[in-house]
Amino acid sequence: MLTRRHFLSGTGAGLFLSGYPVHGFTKEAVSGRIVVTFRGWNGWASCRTTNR
Amino acid sequence: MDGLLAVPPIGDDNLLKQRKALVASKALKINPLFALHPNFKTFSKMLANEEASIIHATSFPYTGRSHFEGQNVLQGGLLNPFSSKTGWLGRAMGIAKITGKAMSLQAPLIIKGATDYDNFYPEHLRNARLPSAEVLKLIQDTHEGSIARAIDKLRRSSKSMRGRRGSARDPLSLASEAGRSLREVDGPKVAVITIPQFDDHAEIGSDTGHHPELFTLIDNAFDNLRNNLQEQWANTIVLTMTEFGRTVKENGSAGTDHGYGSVGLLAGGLIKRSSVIANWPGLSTGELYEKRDLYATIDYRSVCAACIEAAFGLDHDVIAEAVFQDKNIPRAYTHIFG
Repeated sequence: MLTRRHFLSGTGAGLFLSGYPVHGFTKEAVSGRIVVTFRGWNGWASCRTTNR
Repeated sequence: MDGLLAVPPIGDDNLLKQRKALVASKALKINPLFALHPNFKTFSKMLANEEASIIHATSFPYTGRSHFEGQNVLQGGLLNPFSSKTGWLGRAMGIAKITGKAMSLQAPLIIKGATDYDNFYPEHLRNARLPSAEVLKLIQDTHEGSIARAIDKLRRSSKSMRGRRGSARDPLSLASEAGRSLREVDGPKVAVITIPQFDDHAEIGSDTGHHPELFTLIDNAFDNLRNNLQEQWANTIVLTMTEFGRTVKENGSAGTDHGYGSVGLLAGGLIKRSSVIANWPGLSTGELYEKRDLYATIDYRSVCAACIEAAFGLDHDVIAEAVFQDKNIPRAYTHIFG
């Protein structure tokens, strides 16, 4: 539980990184999704140097 | 990826002076400065529907032009290559305590560091059979703790990978599967898909050709993700990344070589207003990085940080400090999601 003393003794980010569930730093439940797609090189053998 | 071919700055007079043959003849005009390659049909509709945005002249802060180093910086998220055994997305997932899925045989660096992640890659080994789900359940029931959890994960993964007819390893099939997984209420919240083969040193193409074919592939991946995420599309951000852009001028083989700045495409229901975000550096030779590459004027780490903030609800300062280990990363959230 986050006490007033703890709160006054550190920054929000510092408290969060210490494991305190600081309101405003995390939502109660994550509802968002992230999809990451890479576009680029994928292994040196895949380099195209000639016409197909 | 060649960002100047994907999103050509048609309003910059130096574009046609620098690369005459590598501009699509029927690019879709977005605004007075930028257009979109015509193969991005779905993405152009997403732009019109206020559910997509473009970040141009951007990159992770890496200028070495090495695939090995560039991919490591892109996925590790730190300034120095090979300085981390975990990835920026995995670190963010660890803080937010959420699960993810890599759509590949091996988990890429970007997702490492998360406390719980899985992978999906359909089996195609002839005559290779895991024990049936019933047998795996019996084995699981005889164990406790981490071993039981590992068998349970194997049982569920095995079922999903061989249970669907037509499961394939190509990017479009994996995008569809990623959408289905992310749609589940108790499913993963993160998916990572790789679309390779953008290293076109020769015959890159303009209206047609290899790079335009890859644009169609990306475009169809967006479409498959949206169609399979269904109502969860509203809570999703799709983030594309490349380790570096290509040279502004074409080389002697009608291709382009390793460069610096490129373009990032974002799509998803978390975007409320489409925009092209750029601090355009210009294309005259004197304005290029080392007189050859598009300058990156936007740090793509700030774009990634904004996506984490939008999807996971983490504070920007926490993301900057704990995920990217650089408290000076600018906050781009309001530009993209505001």
